Amino acid sequence: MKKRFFPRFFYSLPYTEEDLQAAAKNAGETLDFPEDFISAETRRKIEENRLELLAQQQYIDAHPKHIIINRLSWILLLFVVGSLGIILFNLENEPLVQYRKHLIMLSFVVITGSRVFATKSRSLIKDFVKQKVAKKNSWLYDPKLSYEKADALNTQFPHVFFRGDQSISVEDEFYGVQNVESKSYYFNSGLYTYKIKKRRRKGITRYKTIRNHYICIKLVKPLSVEFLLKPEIAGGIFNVFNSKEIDLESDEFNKLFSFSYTGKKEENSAEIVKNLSPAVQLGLIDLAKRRPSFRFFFSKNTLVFLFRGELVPSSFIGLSTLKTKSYNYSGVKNEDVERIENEIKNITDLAVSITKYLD
Amino acid sequence: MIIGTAGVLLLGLILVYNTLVRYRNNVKKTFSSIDIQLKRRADLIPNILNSVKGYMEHEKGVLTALTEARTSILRGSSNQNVSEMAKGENMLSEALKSMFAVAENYPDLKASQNFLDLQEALEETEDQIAAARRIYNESVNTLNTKTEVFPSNIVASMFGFKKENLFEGAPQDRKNVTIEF
Repeated sequence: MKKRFFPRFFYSLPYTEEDLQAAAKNAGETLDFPEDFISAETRRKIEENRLELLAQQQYIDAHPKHIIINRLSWILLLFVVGSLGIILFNLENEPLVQYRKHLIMLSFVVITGSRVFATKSRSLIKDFVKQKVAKKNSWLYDPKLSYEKADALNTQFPHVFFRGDQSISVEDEFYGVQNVESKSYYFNSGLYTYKIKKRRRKGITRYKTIRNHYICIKLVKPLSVEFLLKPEIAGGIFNVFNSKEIDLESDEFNKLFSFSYTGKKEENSAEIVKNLSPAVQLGLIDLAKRRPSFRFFFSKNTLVFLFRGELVPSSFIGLSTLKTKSYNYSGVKNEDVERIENEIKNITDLAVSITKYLD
Repeated sequence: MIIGTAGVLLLGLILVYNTLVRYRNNVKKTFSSIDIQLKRRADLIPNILNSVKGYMEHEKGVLTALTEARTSILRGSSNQNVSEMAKGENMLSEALKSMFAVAENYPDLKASQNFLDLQEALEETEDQIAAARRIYNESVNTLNTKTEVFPSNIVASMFGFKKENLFEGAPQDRKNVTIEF
């Protein structure tokens, strides 16, 4: 049995040609998506990533103790290399003079290495769970980080995305469909990450990582107007004096959202009001309350929802709450699949339910 | 001192008055939103009657109830009478429920594309009515609270701001849910 890929890094899983073939056989059918929703090239890449993930899962199914053995091996290796380093470093010095300091350093290296390993293996397990959610619904799941996708989003929706100046990427992507009544709504969701400069201290620039989750829904019938909804900043007493640009029926909606659009008010307002019917207003209020710090962009043929944070929050699928264990692996637990599926669908269903009133 | 106090009181009066006007206008605006959705649903009724009458010749009672409910809504709308509109809306909901229940006995009707499209349009309009009603009731509650609490109740009575009626749902919608163990 020839190993096709050796670990790219110490946390990854090696898988064989046989695993890959078995993964291809068991991958299951995914939905057909329109070409203007996902290009053939992108789809091919996602299929490759998906098979790679499934092959890794195939491998761990056959070797459930791999992760724990790998972790212990690396801890041991770090310990041995670190100890050797200390001994060599101290050959010419008094061996016990800096003993304490070096022991602390050694412990730091071993603990950090072990923690990085734990985080990465947990992330892999989460990917397995999400992959199973995708398979269950015949969706596509891409676990890999993509800079091209982030570029594409920045170009297509600059009002919503283009922010930050470092490491702009997309990962954790789902491509799926939700059926509402007789219509099918295609959606794409993913984690859009970027970095912003935080502060410069002692000549070192520090960055803060911002994670936003987005959901793009393809509209069945294109809109005749484009506009952006952001959180309303001015509130309270100032609202008595402010006359809002576009005033809708719901007072709560008017307090929560502010509008941005290109062009003149008289050209756009009637169309915006027509699209933001009472049911859409209530749906948007609900979404905005669930995920504060939002942006909703109504483009001609896509609806974009952007929220601060992750679609499935890290705390929700943390090590202690996840039933699928990486060190004592015994397959992906259905309980996890259902929980994560529910969490994803809670938001996507609501987003799609708003979309249906626009068509 | 006296001028200063009078100035503050006047400013307060203006603020409260403007707020009450804003709330009253909001009630009117949200009412018109319900009105639009109810009329939209009422406009669908003749199409539904046309599409079902060939199949439901022996269900005259159901069809008459639909027509009467529609008339009631339109009459309430032209009189701007919330209670009458709410009553008509509840009647129409009941009549539609009966009609769809009866339609179960006619497989050809149930399979008809025209009927399915109308059913979908009706469901969407009902969602919009429910949302519009919620928004309307929120705006009425805000106005009514403002006309009752001190000191805005004084300004409200001075300038004739009145409490508005809520758009009440059908009594059966408010029935308690019985949970059996």
